[in-house]
Amino acid sequence: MIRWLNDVFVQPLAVLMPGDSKSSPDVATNEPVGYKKVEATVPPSENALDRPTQVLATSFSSIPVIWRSELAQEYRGLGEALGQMTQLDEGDAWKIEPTVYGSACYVAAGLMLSAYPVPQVFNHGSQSVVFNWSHGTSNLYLTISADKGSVLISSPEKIQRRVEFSLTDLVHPGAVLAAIQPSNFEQSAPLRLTATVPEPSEIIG
Amino acid sequence: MELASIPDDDNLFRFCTHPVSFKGKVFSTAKFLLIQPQPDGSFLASLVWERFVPTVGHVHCAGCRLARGMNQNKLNAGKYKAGNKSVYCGAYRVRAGAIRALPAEVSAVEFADVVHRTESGELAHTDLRIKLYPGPDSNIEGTKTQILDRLWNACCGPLRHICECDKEVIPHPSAALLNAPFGACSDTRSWLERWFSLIRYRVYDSLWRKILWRFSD
Repeated sequence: MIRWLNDVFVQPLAVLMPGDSKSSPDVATNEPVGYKKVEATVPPSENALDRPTQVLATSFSSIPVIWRSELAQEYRGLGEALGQMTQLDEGDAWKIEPTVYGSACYVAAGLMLSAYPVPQVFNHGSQSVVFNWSHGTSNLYLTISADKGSVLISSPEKIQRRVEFSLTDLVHPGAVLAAIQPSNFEQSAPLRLTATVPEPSEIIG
Repeated sequence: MELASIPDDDNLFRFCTHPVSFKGKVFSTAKFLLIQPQPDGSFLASLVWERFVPTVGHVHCAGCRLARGMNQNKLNAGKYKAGNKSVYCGAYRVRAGAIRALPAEVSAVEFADVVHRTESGELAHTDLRIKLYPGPDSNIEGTKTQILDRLWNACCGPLRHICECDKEVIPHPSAALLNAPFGACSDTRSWLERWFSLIRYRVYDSLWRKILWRFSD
């Protein structure tokens, strides 16, 4: 979704505003094809006819901001759901321990900063929370307990990868997921990743 | 009581009830395939064996009995409320061989097996038992996710159902069941095999009722 926004809307409109590269830093570094040509045909002007374009451009250039705001809103919803899970009665199948809640929030915050889509959530019991992303028939799971994390990538035929982490390794969970996920999860990948990834221990089988 | 060992090619069914297998109105595969930890360190879940529920109708009858029993237990414990009524939604099918193949797919699993064991007067009841290798698993919660993923990917269905006693439940939660990764259930047995299955079931069922009747005296 974020790529679609960037490629189709944000970049062309930023091209119409060559002097305003600050409004879209992603575009400024990429220099899309046709940049100079558009610049030549649409000279800067104070003419009233330019105003609709300016308004339109301003509106669309705010899309990443809106998207991030929506993402933050969705992650707030995730945080609330996790919080409610800690407050359930003892014996409720959805109850989680406060320490697991803390770890899950820590990881969720990292995922949000990496612009990861909000995951589905489930648990096995009070000792862990599982974040799940599906893409077609493939699944990506991030199992979080109080002090450990486990990433699992599966297809209907087999387990593709399972990688274990201690929670301290998961400072940048988005980067960790991006580093181990196969190409079939590319569409759910975040905007960009700049973090360094710790060396994970991998379990075969 | 184990009447026979279950061949790898035989089918088993896992029942789905609301609210156990749901989070609100949303179906949850994790709760549907919940495997309960046992004191000996193994994990246990309940299935029914197709040999004793030879048709889809028999499967749903057993599912309705299960939900009725759950409601009766809540009633006996004084915990029954209209909001927490157990509603049978349907069943998913899995092959015995797929369950026994778990150790090959999940390295932490020592063995996984299905054993016929009657329970609460239910002739078709079968135990699904999973045992992990002894010693501290580096991440048992991650292993649970792996087991869940493999079991769900081995399932086909759902076989949705609305019991007579749940006709007033609108919208019925069976509509929220997800399609299983292995596809829809299809009965590939020939008419002769189905006929034989039904006759065999009637013999077993008749004997089973006699045993229950004798014990109830």
